[in-house]
Amino acid sequence: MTAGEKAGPVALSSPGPAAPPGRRARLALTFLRGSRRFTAPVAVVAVAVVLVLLLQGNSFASTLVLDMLVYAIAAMSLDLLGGYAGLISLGQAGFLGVGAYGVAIAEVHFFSPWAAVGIGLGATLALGLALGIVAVRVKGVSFVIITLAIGQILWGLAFQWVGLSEGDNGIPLSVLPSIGPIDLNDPLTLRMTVLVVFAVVAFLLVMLVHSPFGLSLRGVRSNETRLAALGYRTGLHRYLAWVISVFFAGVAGVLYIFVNQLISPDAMSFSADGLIVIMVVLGGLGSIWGPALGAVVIVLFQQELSTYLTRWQTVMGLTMIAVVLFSPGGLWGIVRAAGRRRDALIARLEARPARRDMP
Amino acid sequence: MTAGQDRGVGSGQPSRPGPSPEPGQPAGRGRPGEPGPPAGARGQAPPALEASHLSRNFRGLTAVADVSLWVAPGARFGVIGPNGAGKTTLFNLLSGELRPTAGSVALFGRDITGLRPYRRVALGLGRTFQITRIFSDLTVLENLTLALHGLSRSKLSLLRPWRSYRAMTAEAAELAASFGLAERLDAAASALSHGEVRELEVLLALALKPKVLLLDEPAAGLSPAERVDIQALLTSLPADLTLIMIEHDIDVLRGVVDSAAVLHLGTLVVQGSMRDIQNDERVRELYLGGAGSRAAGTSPPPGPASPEMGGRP
Repeated sequence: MTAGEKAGPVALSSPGPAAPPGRRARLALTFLRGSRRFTAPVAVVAVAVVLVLLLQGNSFASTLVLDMLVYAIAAMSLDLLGGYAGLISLGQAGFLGVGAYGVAIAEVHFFSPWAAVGIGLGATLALGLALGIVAVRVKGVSFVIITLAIGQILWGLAFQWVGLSEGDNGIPLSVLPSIGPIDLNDPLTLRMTVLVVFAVVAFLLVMLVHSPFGLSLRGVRSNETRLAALGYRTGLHRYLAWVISVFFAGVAGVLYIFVNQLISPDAMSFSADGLIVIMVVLGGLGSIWGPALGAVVIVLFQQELSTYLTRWQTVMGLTMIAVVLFSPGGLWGIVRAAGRRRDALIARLEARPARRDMP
Repeated sequence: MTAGQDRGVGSGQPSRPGPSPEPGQPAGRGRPGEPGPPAGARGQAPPALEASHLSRNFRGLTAVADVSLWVAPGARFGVIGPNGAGKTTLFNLLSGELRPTAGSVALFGRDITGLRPYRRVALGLGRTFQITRIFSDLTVLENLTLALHGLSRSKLSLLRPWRSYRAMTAEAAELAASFGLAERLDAAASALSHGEVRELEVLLALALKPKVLLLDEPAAGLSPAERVDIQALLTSLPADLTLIMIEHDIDVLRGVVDSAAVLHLGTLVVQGSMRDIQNDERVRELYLGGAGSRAAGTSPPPGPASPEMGGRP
């Protein structure tokens, strides 16, 4: 993934007998140090590629990228709860659905599109605040089961409360909000908006996990009793993590219905819940960027691979097993390990000339 | 590499001063004979920690039965007793991890019986755990920073990186350095040696600058050399810190505490100065003979007013 991996063989071949001592090592060192500095530019190029895909006319490719971004938001926010506080939720797609249904139902009842967005987000937040009181009372397997139940209840409501949700058919959304020159009905503006919201959420989550609050969540996962003995009201910290995570799932839901212009119970099904958890675990628990990467891979599998292979789930399952077996830190763990290998290599190469200089 | 190798007996390092809030404090207070609060002060100044008739039952099993303690401010107080005597249960009652079935706990005269652990910590009651409870997924620096944020509003700060709290991270580094963990700041806590882990455990509690510190067997499982380190750490603590320490090895307590209580089968056998305790017949029976259980059952626990806590003349 990073330059560190590619540089491996170069550095290993450096002490070859033909080469003048240190020359190839110096070359490798320059390259490796450069790669350290160029990680950010490489990331920028990756973002540029996303932009190009979004901007170009091919609506299939841009929808694919938009789907990735929407699910990346849901997966990253689940990671705050699962990867940091150690609370794996199986109801994340349910809250994505609440956000989306909130917008759709409000619009059906003749609210203006902007008011509908407010209602969608407000409904998710209110539900998160209320259900959190119950959910974060428990930890571990009990938490997984409670969130599973919450997710299934939400799905059941969407499926069976036909008067409100129109049941299996789902609710289409015809008009998207617009303000001044920003008209989300224009595909290009919509794509850019999704990208900007993704960037903002990613930025907020990264700030959050590096804050004292983020540190306290890792403390909750590592040793909650000790954290309480250090003056932390640990229940409050878990509750806040839950509310933030649920709210961002609602944000993903609002974007979901903008992109798809339809919300049906399928988006909240158990398999949708599971898929978001898989994105997080595959990408790497406790890394924020990892789950985004996981979302990219899973959406690609789901939408791209499925056109070539009927048994794409088998491939996904095998990939999942391989990653969990060989890189417990997920895909992001591979990226991190490569970075560490690069740093170790740099340190080794730097130490070498110094040793030669010694008498 | 590890603390045990670095700091053997007599290397001089362990006697560094602790992270005393007042750097000018003389270290090593607390041996018998040093000035404690005058005996008459008990009437006016409230005790640092007072337990009144504490009891706790676990489904019919009585772990702690009617234990009353009175610990003067600044005292070094030991809680001694064989395995299963109810020492840790007593600590959990004092720190709030467990609610008592009956009785009450007061900190500096304030009733804290109904307060949750984090509220007691805010009032100045710190504790360590017998089974080490550090944040093993975090680095030493992260462990200590987390502890330092514990009593600050900044623990709920959401959008400012914890590394940007320079005063906190500097204090964490200083704290680590004062007990020989300076080189290990960026090491994962799970990579520490057992001795270092026990030190970190104490440091986490000290980071909050408690007024009363409950230490649950700080020397458990340590090698003799590491025991000396921990003992040095404990004797270097600030003099105004009230220390209450569980230990089943009386030898570790000797030289650290001035008074102690002996528990057996959940009841208080005797409470008094270390000299009294070592000369007490019931305690000798407990540790030497098998008749201790009967003796403990029949001996009436001394009331909170009987022994002197704050050092002896």
